[in-house]
Amino acid sequence: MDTISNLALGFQVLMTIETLGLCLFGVTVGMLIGVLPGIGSMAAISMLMPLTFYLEPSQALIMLSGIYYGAQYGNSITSILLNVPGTPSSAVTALDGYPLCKQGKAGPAIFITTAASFFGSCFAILCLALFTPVIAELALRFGSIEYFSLMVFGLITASVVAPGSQLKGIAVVLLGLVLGLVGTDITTATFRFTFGYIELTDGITLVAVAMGVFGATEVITNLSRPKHQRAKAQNVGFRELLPTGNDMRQAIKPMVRAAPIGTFLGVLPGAGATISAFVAYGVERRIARDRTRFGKGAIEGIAAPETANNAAAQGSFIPTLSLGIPGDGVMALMLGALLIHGVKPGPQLITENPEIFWGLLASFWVGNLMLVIMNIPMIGLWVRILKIPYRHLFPCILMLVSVGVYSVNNSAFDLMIVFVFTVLGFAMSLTKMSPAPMLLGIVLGVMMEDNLKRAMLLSRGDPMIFLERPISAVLLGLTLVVLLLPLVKMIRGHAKTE
Amino acid sequence: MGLLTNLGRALAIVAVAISVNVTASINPVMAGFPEKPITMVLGSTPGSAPDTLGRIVAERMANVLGQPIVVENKQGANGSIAATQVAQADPDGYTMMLMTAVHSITPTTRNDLKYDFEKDFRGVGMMASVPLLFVVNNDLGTTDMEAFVNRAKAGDIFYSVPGIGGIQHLATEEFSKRAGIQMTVVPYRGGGKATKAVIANEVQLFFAGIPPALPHAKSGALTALGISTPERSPAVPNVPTMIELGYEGLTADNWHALYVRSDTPNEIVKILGDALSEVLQMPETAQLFLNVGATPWIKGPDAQTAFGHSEVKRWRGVIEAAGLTF
Repeated sequence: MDTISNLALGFQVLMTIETLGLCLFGVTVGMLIGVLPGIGSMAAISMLMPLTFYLEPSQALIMLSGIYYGAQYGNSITSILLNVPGTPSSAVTALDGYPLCKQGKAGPAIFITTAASFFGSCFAILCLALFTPVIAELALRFGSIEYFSLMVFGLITASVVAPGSQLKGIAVVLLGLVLGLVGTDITTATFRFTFGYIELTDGITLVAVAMGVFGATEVITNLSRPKHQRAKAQNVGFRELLPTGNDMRQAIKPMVRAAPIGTFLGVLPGAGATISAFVAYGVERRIARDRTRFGKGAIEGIAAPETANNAAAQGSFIPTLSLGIPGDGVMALMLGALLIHGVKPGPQLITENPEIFWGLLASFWVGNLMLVIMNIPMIGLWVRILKIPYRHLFPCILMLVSVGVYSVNNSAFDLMIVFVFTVLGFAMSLTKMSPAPMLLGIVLGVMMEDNLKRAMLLSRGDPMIFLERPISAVLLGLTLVVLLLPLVKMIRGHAKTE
Repeated sequence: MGLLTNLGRALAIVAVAISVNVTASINPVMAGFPEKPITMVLGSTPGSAPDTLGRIVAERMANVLGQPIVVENKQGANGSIAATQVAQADPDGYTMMLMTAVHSITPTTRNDLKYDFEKDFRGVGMMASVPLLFVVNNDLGTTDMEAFVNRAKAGDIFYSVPGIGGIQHLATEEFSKRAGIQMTVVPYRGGGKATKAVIANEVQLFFAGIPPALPHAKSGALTALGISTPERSPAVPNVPTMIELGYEGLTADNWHALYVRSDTPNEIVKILGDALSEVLQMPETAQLFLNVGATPWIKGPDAQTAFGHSEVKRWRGVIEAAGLTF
């Protein structure tokens, strides 16, 4: 019953007015930041960093992490209402969230994503509390070879995310993989496809791509339609804000499936929220009885990715705290905050500074609860955005997108990227291609290439290594199963009809 | 109680940072430089060692100078994007750049830089030294450098680096050459992932920047065999220096220094340099630095400029001796 006494210690740390206040402050800032398209938690956290010099380390971490997971709640709101994802990880939510909104179900959709976010977070927190050392050990077993196989699995599973033509979906993924090549070759440090632009040497900024192909493209697509076909201001009554019992029942199973996927991918440094949302969506679509509902407002299509990306956000604390290895930039920033206070993250953190680890864990529960309590009444407010005439709305969207993209690298060049990808996005929308798989391709492309090259260096060029390592072999086996699944279904279908 | 005062102080600082004009009006004595906020540009991501150290110093220098210092992360291309921007800023001292050893390496490894490190920049002063820690995987069973070198002679050793052509890569190559061994480099993106690789025994060695490696060396997850400082570091007092181990001259501290454009007036550079050295002499700065594994390092503007030039020569020599091509 160690866990219970540890959690008691955690709540003891948390239950002071100042600490709770900082937690509330963190999650509120995070939630608001999350709603704004393009602006990630990174900007907010690095601005508030100097403030933490004057706080206890546990309080500093509670506040900063509140911003991080708070932002995961808000980012699906604009995906659903405006088809403008707040972050790349919520791009998937727009696929079914926006159609739901068009059907007048924006309120229920936001309610479900909030519930899904809460469920995903709770599941991951539970894993944190019970299994952190075990999970950390597992994360260490994942070397370059296992990562590569995992990326193959992720790519194949999620390649069906695009609604409509399968072939177009694959073409778009491939385009994404190609775009992922832009940047610096990891083994030689040579610049590739940068065309002399020094800003491209670290690759194309993902947020800028997402804002181009979703945010700005959506605005232009909308404005290019004849007047009567444009997005119209909607009137939403209060009773339409809550999902029906049927909606909730549809959401539960996807949530249960997506939570472990998200937690697991969150634990692996570098894999993170974006991939987990895609994979969770892909899994739902693969196992669905009626695949055609996806992309037209399937409840599973919003419940699964939102559960997964929140679980991943929470899960990414495991390697950060227990191994001292940050999964992404924001986590690195939080490690920095701990280091400044002389707290060494790593295996000994949980034993040497239990008040930090368990205090943080307790704050996760409370912070998530605060977020749900704040978010549910806010739904009515968010949905009212739809009442604003589009001619007033679109300049705001474009401005927020620009500010958000600029804030990622403090780079005006990234605004040019948005422009280029708006043109591409518009062309894709004319040809009825969904840009979502392209984001996945960009994220996975770099990681797959890096890990493949490392694996080949380590095995001295022997590709059999992918089958010799057990974890890797299992993942490749699963990939094969996913690939053969449609074939099996087809044969069975034939057998039945005959 | 103490906490509430701390909170109050923290809020006060945020208020100062936000209301720039208000600050200026309550400091009428501060005539002349600086009259407006100063920007400190750095070429790496938030949370990296330069970022952490830069923010510690920026915050205290702001108190000394009476103007906020805004830290701006312009990561990418080994800090070249940031340096290009600063080289094009006005030479008025309001744009400083936090440079690290990599800025003395890129003049040799890159032929496409849009600035000249030696001609376009002058030092404000040295800031910190971040040593490299020679950490090896425990399963290797080598607890001292001699055993490691013998083991490396006997068989394949892989080592990780956070990027090709960085100081960790060059220092390891310099070491291999001196020790007469051959090892294979496996590149990762970032020090955290390179550290994870050596803990997981994917590679056996990482000549790491101390921040990501220190917690693991202390917990025993990795074995530290040497450190690149001229003298032993207070962060790991029981780890011998590379010099003690017989590698004379193998000091490869990652230096962190402030630079401005070379045509910035002397008086302004002096004001900034004095503020920097005042901050570095504060005991709490040293303590915060030590938490990250760094130590304050003081050098005046001219000494820093000269040091930067000598570093370019030094790394060029290492690259040529190791026969590395980029």
